[in-house]
Amino acid sequence: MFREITLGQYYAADSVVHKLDPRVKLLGTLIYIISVLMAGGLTGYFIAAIAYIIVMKISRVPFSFALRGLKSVFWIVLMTFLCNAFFYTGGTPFIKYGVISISISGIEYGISMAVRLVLLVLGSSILTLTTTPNELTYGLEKAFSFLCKVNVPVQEIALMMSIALRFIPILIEETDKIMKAQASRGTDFETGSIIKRVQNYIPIIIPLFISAFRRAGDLALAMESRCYRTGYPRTKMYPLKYNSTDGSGYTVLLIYLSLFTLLKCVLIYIGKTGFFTM
Amino acid sequence: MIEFENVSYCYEDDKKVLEDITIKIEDGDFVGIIGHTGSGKSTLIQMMNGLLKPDTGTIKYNGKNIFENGYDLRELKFHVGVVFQYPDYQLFETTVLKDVMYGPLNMGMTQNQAMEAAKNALNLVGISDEKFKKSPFELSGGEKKKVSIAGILAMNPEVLVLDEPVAGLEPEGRRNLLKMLEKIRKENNITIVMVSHSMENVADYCNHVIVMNDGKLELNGTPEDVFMQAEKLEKMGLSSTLAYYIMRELQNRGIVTDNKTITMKEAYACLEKLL
Amino acid sequence: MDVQLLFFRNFGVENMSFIRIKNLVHQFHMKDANGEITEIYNAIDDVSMQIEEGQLIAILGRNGSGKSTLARHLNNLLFPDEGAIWIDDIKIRQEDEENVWNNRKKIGMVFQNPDNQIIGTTVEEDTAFGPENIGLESERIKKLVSDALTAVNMEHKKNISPNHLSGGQKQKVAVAGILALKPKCIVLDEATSMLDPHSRKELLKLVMELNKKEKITIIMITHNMEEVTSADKIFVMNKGKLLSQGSSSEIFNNSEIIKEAGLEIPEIMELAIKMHNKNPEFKTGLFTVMEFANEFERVYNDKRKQE
Repeated sequence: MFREITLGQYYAADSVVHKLDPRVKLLGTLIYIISVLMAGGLTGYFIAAIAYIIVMKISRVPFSFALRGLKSVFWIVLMTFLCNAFFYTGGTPFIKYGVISISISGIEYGISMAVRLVLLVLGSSILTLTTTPNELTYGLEKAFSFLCKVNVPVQEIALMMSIALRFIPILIEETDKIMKAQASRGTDFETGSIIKRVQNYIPIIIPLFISAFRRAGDLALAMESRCYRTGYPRTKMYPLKYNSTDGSGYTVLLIYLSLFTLLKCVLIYIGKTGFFTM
Repeated sequence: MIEFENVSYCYEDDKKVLEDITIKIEDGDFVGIIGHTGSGKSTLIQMMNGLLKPDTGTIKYNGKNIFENGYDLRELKFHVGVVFQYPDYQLFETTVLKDVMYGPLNMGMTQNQAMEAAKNALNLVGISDEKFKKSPFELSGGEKKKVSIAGILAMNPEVLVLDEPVAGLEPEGRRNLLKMLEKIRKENNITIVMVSHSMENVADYCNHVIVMNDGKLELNGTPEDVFMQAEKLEKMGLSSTLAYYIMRELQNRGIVTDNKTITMKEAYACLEKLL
Repeated sequence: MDVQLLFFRNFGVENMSFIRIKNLVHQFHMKDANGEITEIYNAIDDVSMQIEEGQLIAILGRNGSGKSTLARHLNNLLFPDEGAIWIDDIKIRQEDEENVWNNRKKIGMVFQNPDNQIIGTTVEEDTAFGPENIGLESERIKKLVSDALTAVNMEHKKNISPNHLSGGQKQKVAVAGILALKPKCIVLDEATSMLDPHSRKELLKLVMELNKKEKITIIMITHNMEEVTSADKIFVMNKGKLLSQGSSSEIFNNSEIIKEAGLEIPEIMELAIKMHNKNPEFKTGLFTVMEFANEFERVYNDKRKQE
């Protein structure tokens, strides 16, 4: 059943990557995205892919598990490729028919964009594969805590996120129950015009909303009775503390970013950027 | 008549929820289903109106296999009405009357017919006319429960299935509701299937008792058959009725003989003669 | 200075109670669609009561009798419109925020719906919610959480998502979340009403144990009389008023009050009362099968002797 929400699928394993501070992984994801966006050619993508494979090996998450995430974006990748290949106007077309113009540089650009998309999806999935939604929320709270200074209620937003994570599965299960209760009164979800079908969902949505509001009210009361007050600093049972691994993590990330940037700069300087390089 | 033949059901993770269940529910019966949370009771009743499909085995309503091609499962829901535990999952309209009319309108009745059916059903469950125009959300817990039952009764089902109808109700409401169900069963000649945690309620009202444990059918028979097997019930973490335990204790002490008593009424009838 | 406070000061030390409620009134304002007040009624109407530390208290009454509203006053989630409440002899005032927070630490509350009071995404994290709110440091929280989970026998589930627990287990986690704040008192506001009989018994056993071993005051709010046969004191509420108070046998033997408050006499007791009506020799305050059998045997043998 829908007992657990999997925000991009967490894969439980005992690895260095899993144990890293979520803030390191958040920055890592950011750096990886920057590097992939910086790269514009096959060599660059190759380096990024190697980096991805190494981290995946260390994380002990099976590749097959990670690749599943690609299924849902397959059509977007394909569309990206086709749009760029068929409608790219920058190069000299060898086929031109109406708005369609196919050129070598168009195809190259299409491949480049598709590969970039795949790497972005795979790269950022490492974060959610190795970090529980909880850790992620807390990591975000810590990483953005500087915003407190400009009166952004970071702590409250993080708590809201974690409450949402707890209640989404409950509400999904509840939706299932409501649908069954209304189906028992003859609600027809399958036939009829679109308008009719939308109307048929009203008996589902109203009880669901009423229940959600009641839960929210109850929860607010329960939180208050357990000494929660907004704007009052809270502590944590497991506060995030950096250890030496996290230091190494940051170092590796910086080295990766520096080398990548350096390579790109050098290639720009000697004028060798392009599809086959970067 | 509802028949289950060798019905089994698994969750997606292969956890068995029902294992080889064969039961028969006769017309006009008041059936009680007993079992722990997670024993498979809820799954069982959701199969009665075709909300869930068994992995193996067949379910027949009035002799016809309900999962056969061409069987109108939506139509079945008007014959076998299922009332779920929480009325909040079903009430949605602006007024009580409109909410009860929802089922009849889905059956294809005209506005007038549906209103007639809804009014009858509401009267049957004891909701008075002045509450018809009220919002269902303003009602008390007991009244909501009654309206939710009326919402099913208005479709004029032949079988009324209720998941823990008295759970969460107050003592007064509990007794009223059970009496009302018994009255409806007799007067409208319908079959009632009730999931309950209360042995006493089942012993007092039902004439057929089904005991589920870990997805298996453990006991199936008359209340006397079932509640006399106190040891077996206790092994499942359930119990027999208080009246049974009182009479058994008095029997052990040699005060009464031949204990077949399972309700307080019977116990009183037997004991008052001795004082 | 508050006149009432002066007044009660005169009572002196013998009037010290853990919780003291005097002439409490709580008003509900019924509003129409435009937000205009159409009706004001007293959800709690002039209620006074005293609760001593370490007691097992039951507050009985039907829905809408004001018992849950009363519970919320104890937890400082609501404040009196008239009258006053003292906890540890300190008067509750909404303005006195520090005392309000202190009281919430002192008196914890378990609510009816198990799903709607668990905040954390794991059992352990939820138990830590209270201590985290009051700003304790990490090591202290860990100790409190582990002690609390041990007390409710849920430490083996500490890393599990609450969504995988049964209703009864969720209520135990809710109790643990309160215990982690080291309370003096736990209020159970119909906390068993959504549980099956087995989980219900387990939860009751747990709170009774906490009452006996840890000397935590327990206040059970319920309409189920079977649950409160061992209460030290019972308060019966009806229509916002305190209908009656007394020991469990005093209340249970008063069939008029039970009827008026819409309660249900436990079945064994009901049978005993019928027996009593048949033969006045038969005593009525009986709750268990054994008690009934003993009484029946006694009366039965007496009758045999006379014949």
